[in-house]
Amino acid sequence: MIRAHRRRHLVVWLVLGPLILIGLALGLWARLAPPVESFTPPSVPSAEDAP
Amino acid sequence: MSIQYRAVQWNRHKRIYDLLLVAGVVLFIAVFMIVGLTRWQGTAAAHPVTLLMRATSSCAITMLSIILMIGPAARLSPRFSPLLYNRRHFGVTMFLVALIHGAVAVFWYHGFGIVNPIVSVFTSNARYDSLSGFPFQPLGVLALAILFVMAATSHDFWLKNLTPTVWKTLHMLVYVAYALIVMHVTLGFLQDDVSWVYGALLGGTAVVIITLHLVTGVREWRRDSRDEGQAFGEGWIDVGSVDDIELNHAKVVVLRGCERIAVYRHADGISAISNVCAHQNGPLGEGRIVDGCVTCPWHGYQYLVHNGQSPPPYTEKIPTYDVRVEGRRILVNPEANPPGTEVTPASIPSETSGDRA
Repeated sequence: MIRAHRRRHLVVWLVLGPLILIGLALGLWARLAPPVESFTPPSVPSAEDAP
Repeated sequence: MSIQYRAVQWNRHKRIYDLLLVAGVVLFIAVFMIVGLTRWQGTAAAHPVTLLMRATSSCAITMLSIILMIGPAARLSPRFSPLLYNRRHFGVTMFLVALIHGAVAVFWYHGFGIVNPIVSVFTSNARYDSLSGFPFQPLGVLALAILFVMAATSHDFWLKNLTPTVWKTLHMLVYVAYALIVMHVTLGFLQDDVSWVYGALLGGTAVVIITLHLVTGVREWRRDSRDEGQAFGEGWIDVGSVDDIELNHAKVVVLRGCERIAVYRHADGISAISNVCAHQNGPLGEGRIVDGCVTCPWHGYQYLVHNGQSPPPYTEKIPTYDVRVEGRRILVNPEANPPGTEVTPASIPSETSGDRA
């Protein structure tokens, strides 16, 4: 029945819509967040640097 | 209509439409390539093959976004209904553009090793625990596989043999394909050092598409939950006044638990038929009578209003409903007659009063 198809259509978008938006948000967050590998620890003075 | 199956049923309108479609695609890709070659130079310069991949992917996702907006837009306003007529051609063309993108990408990035290129797409990157390094290419291949199934079944042969309900359910997979493509772009191209504009465009378009589908879905669901008729006794339902309906047009009536009914006013009086077209379940009540036949607003399928049959030599049939007119009120029996049943139109007592034709 076409009524059932209309209802199925709505249910699909109620599930898929938020999933798409969450996926997009996570993907963009991953792009904007600084990668862990780029973290540079503060330099530790070596023995030669000591006065 | 479907008197027989032919490879393609062309007509002048379809030829013009397809010509414009192909011209649009070629123009889009050409402009993208020219702008890309002139704008990105020096260290930012992209290889022509990379540019071709970007051009075809941009073109395909733009086309898919338009396709996904046409359906709900047509539900919101009949002005967009003509766009449904050749949506299939639009969809198949979109698949072909996406196929060019996929083929070029697979062979450019995976075609020069000893591993089968398709196998390489699925095995070369196993960083499923990383968002920024996620293997985005398999998402694109899966979406392309879905689009292939849809393009291959975009013919009335499959529509007829699978039945409209199964066919339409199968073609709802395009929504899954769209979700996969959004993630393919988000976890692929957008993870490169590119402008935020691309992310905003993708996200903005997704919000529009999702909102359109949810708004129309909720609207249709609310309407299906209503009961627009009033019991008149002995199974008859009062569905409104004759004067509510313009000549050669219909009023769509929603009765609880029933399919929608299209009540048509025409030269011979009032007739009631199913609102569901036998072709693709289009809303017959939103069409009008052309050349003596109810004409579906989606693809132009036609039915004789007094028996729900397509005029010979066509064979489609839809259910009819018994109808009578009391004073100026239209009464419909909500029990559908078998498809193609002849029902004498109810004559309108006084054609002189309230005739808005």
